[in-house]
Formats: sequence, C-alpha cells, structure tokens
Amino acid sequence: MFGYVRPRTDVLSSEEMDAYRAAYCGLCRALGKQYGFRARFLVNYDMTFLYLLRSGVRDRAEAKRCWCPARGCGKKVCTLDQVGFETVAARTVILCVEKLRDNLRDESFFRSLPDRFLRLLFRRAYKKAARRLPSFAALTAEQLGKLRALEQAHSPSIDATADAFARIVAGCAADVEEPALRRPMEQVLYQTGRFLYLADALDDLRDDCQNGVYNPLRFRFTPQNGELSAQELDYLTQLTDSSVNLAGAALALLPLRAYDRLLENTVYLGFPAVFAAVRAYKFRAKAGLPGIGRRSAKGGNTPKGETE
Amino acid sequence: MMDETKKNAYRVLNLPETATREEIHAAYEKLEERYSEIRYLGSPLWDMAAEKRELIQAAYDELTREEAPMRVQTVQEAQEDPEPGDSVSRRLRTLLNRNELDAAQALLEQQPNRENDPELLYLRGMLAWKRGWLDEATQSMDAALRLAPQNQEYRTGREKLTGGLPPSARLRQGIKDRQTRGACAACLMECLCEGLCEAICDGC
Repeated sequence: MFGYVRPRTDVLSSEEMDAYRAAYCGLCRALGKQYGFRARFLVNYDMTFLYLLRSGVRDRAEAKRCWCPARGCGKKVCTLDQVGFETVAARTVILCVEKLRDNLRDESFFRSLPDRFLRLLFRRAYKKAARRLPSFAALTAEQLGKLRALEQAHSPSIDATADAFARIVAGCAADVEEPALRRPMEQVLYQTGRFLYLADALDDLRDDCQNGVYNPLRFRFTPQNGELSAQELDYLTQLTDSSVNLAGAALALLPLRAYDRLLENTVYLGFPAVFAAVRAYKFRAKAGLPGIGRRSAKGGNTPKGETE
Repeated sequence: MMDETKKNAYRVLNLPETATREEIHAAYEKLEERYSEIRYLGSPLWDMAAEKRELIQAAYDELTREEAPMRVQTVQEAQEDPEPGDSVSRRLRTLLNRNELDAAQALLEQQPNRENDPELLYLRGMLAWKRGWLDEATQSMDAALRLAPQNQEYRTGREKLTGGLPPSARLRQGIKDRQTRGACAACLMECLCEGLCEAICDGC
C-alpha cells in the first residue's frame, strides 16, 4: 500500500533478514495461489508487517524454496503458512482495491483511467476476498466513507482523519478471538495506521498544495510553498513519536514466540527512520538513508531528526 | 522439591529454576521497566499493563520472600457510579477514570459552554489524550491553560501529554543490541521482489 512500515535493515541480523524475506515472498506466493497471478503485484511491506504481527504469537512456520516469477526459473525461500497468510492475503486485496475505488472518486474520468483499469483487473479477486471477510470489507468501505466526508468538509483535524484510517488498519486484528491477544494487536495496528496516515500526509503535502488537493496538514498548519516550518515539523514528529511509543508499549504486552526482533526493529527503529526520511523529503527519492529504501551512489546521509 | 507457585514465579520472570538472587533481581527490574506505569500513560492498554505488573510483583515477592517482606499490593481507586445530581465536571472525571470514553464524549457535547470553560476544555483534552488523539489533546489543554494559567492541575496535565513515554535509553539500547548487522542485509532488502538477489549479493 504505502511501504512506510519496514524494518531498518542495516541493524538486522542476516537470520532475521532471511525470515523477513521469506515472509514477504510467502505473502506474494499466497496472493498468487488464492487470487491468481496478477494479485502477486499487490504484495507490500505494510501487509508483511501485519503477517509478522499476527503470526508472531505462534511458533514460526516452516519455510522452503519456491518458484519466484520475478526470477524466471529461479527459486526463493518462502514461509509456508496457509492459515496465517489466508486472511492477510484477503485483507491485502480488499485494502488495495478499496484504495483504488477511493482514488476514482477524487479524479476526473481521464485521469482515473489507469485506476479504473486496475480495479477491473482485480474485480474478481476483490469479490472473493470480500466473501471471505465480509465484515472487514464493510468496515473498510465505512471508514473510507467517513474519511471522504472529512476530506470534503476540509477538516483541519489530523486526529479525526487519521482515526478513520487507523480504524481500518486496527480492523485487521478484529477476528483474533482471545482478548489478551486482540487488544494489544489492535492497538499496535491502530498506532501503525495513525503513523502511516501522518507520514503519507507529509509525504504528499507538496504535491497536494500544488494541485489544490485536500491534505489535513494544509488546513491544520500553514505550509509555505508546500513545506512546513521547522517548528511545525518538530510538532508533527512528536505526534508520530507518540504513536511509536504507544505501539511499542502494546507490542510489549504480546507473548511473542517468533519475529519479536523484527517487530521491535520495525516499530522502534523503522518508523522513526522512515519518518525522518519523509521529513527530509528523501523517502521518495530513497537516497542514502541507513537501512531504508535503496542505497545512494553518493553514500549515506543521515537526515535531520534521524534517531539513533 | 519446588512447589508449583515457585515454578510459576520463575516462569513469569522468564528465569530458569536455578537462577541466583542477583539474576532474579535483574530480571525483575528489567520487566518492571518494560511494563512501567509511565509507558502506558494515555494507552487504552493500561489495565493489561497493571495486571502484568501485579503478576511480576507477586512472582518477585514469592522468590525473595525469605529476605524481604511481602509488598503491599496497590489498591485500585474505588470507582463510584456517577450520580445525575453531581456536577458535570465530577461526572466527566468519573467516566474518564472508568475509561467510558464514548459516554464522556456524549456528556461533553451536551455542554453549551464547552468552548470557553477551562475545566471542560481540560477534560476534553484528557478525553482526547485517552483516545490517543494527541493533537486535539494539546490544543484543548493549551486553550484551558490560556483561560486559567495558574491552575496547577492543568499545567501538570499538559506536561504529561506525551502519548506514552518512550522506553528508557537502557531499554532502547537493549532493542538495538539484540539486532546485529548481517553480512549483506542492506542489499538483501534492496532486491526484495526484484529477482536480482544473487547477482547483487555477489558484489557485496
């Protein structure tokens, strides 16, 4: 979806890195198996995190070498966890297609043609996923509707808009039966959703100011030429730090049996590093940030606000 | 023969049954910090963290009973039902203490003077904070402080607005120490889903 939820790979052991890759490839494989080849293109880091969180309370599933279409004839190590991936794959399809549907409403007919085409491409996959998780599909549509109403009203409340999105992400753990597991998982995901929304809003601020598109930060703060002042950026960093702390505190309440280092890394190190990259306008360029995105040919620059 | 209570206590502290007193104390301190009250300020999971702290405390007391007297358990505040005749402020505070946030929100929205009464603004800030809405909490408490700058309670409440304190430097360092740099971790990440993993890693 966004790609903001990822671990800091430069401080990750090779064993954990392999586990992360295997989970990512496992999700890709599950999408392909359940929703057809084209659904493999929906695989993303954010939903890999969801898999790690949901399956972290169980023993780690086995992994084996599987065919990888991106490699032609080559194989990659994939986690084989049919039960674990089943709901995560369905949620991936629902979220991506609902996002496409939401985009269509904001754009003119001709500008929305690529999204219309993609939506058509994933129509059957969406129907299948929505049949599997009808309550999640309904929740996503309902919260996106709320979000749209807030956008149309040009709401200056970043809390209310982030809340609508965060509730969708928190809904990804609504089917966990045991409250002792469900409540911390929902809180980790709620704060992750809030973080995602704020990071995405800041990342899009320049473009949105230029195109006159709604962005909560435009109405809450006073951006000049699409940029916030240092003081406003510091305040926004405080808000995202709060989400990191609350997500970390919730994570500590989960009896994790697998992926604990990966999850801690993503929350405590990945989130702040990603936000620092977004804040320094380097996330999209993926230029020289330690463990985030691609390596720069010029070497690593630590952006302002980077927490070590 | 070790009794079941003691075995459970070791399990709670994540220790082998052969652990020394120093190890017991170190494990207790580490867990106390992990679930400390201050980390769960503004979190809806404060009750789960409190239960965890009680378990840890009981386990520690069990294992160190011979040398230290049992600590007195924290007594939870009595939670009274709000009476209809109570002041709005008191009813709101009771609802907030009981974490009945939707009821508190409904009561707050019925008040016509909620935008210019410092007490209601402060309580609106507390409500937003409990929901994890830090921006709205900050704005409401700042407004309350502008109207009543001398109020010590509002000032303390405003200073507490952190949305869960970050883990201490020691805990954060522990998280970092547990991660060790892999031989080619950065390039492995880079080539996820690009199908070029081996080609790139060969050059590491």
